[in-house]
Amino acid sequence: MPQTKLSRKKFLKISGITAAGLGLAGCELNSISPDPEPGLNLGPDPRPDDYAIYIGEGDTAIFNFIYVLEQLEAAFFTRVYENFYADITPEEERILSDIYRHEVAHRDFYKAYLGENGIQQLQFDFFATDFNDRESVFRNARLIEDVMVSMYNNIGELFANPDYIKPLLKIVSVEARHAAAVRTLLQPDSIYFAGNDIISSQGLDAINAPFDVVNILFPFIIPNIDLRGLPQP
Amino acid sequence: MTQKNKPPAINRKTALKKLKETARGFATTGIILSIAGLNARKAYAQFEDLEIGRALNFILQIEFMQEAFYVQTTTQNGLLEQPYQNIFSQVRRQHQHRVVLIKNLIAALEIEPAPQLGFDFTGNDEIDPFRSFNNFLNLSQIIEDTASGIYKEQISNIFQNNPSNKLKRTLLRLHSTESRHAYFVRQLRAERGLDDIKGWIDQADLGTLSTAFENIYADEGNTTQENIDVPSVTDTAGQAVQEAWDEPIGRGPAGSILQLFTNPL
Repeated sequence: MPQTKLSRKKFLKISGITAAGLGLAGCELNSISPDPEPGLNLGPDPRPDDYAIYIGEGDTAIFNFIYVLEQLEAAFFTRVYENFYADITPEEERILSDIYRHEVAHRDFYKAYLGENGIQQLQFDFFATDFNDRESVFRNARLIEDVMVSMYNNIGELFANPDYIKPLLKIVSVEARHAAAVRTLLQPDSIYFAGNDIISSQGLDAINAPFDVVNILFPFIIPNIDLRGLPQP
Repeated sequence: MTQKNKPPAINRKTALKKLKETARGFATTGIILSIAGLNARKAYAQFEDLEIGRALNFILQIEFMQEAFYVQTTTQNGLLEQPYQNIFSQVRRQHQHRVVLIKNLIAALEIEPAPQLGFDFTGNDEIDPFRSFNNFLNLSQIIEDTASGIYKEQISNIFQNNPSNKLKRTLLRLHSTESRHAYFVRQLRAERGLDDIKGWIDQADLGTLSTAFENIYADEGNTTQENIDVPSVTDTAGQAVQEAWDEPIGRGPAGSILQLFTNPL
């Protein structure tokens, strides 16, 4: 596993007995039974706050990883929405407000879906974005939306339980619409919404492995996150 | 939640233990049983591949239709003004490559790709794409939103049949490209005042399109996802919740759309 900024302190192995003792045994996702061999499903991190945030293992880790990134998207577009750049057009305001609402809905859905297994609300620092500058907002929005689509396009194959692809497809589809929207505002009346920089010659959208996504987007996340339980392609 | 009728995976430790037991005195029986097990697994894998092939062949139909639609329209002189001639020619090229790709995916399973049927887009005056650029856009939206929904349904089916990771990621990448296309054409129709819609789909609403296509958006009013009533867990208003999820389109409703434009063999 790549040694990125994943955890500050050594991961403390928690035995299954401890987890059971803490009453975290029934840690299944809402309404979906756990897969036959879920490994340790520990639920929320019982360690003190100064440790890296633990996201679990297997399918739980995948959903928490997605939840981290949906939190990031919601936080970014909330900043945009609460302080629109000067001279924004009504059409841009309408589209960015819609994206903000969609991302908040996605974040809150995953929070409810993960229930006790979900990590806490994270803090973000979008130091690369000047929220008063239209170009800066759109360049960063494009990066975030394209990377989200590419993340979903790889992570879907990592689930042990094939049923989980269904809710993912419904959401990645809207993320792709967001990516097209931001790209169309950057370069109107052009093929940029599905341009050669993002769609391959075979008509395939972008794909990024989870740790490539980490390299691009995790610098904007303040707390450290322990990703060692996350399945890899 | 559906559980597959598949022999449970045996981990290596259990397998080794079984092997030892077999060696202790059930040697002959054990060998016969494992051969039977092998054949059952092989037969099951073949069954799964057939199911995958069936789903891929359905996806191939909508890709055939998109290819035919964009080839016929982008090569008709004067129908598309610039820059849209260039933009939709690029969309056409993407679909042409996708048809080849999907045929190859099917052939790799040693299954015959379905033959291409003839397509006739002129049946309905409101959307006959050769009559005007606006009509072209109407049908383009119908086709792209339908394709995005078909991919969702068929990818879910394929995932139930143990596909390779390579196939899974290829399909996901095909799917999100459709949603990008769909956004662009919806937004363009809204900008041109053809419909009061957005790039995302906000309810089970066809807008100005013929009710012949109502199957496409029938489920878009849905706000319950994975048994969670989303408006009850978020401050986001109901309309935005509808927009934030795109719904799959099943084989039946999708087939009824395809049939409107398909000439029987």
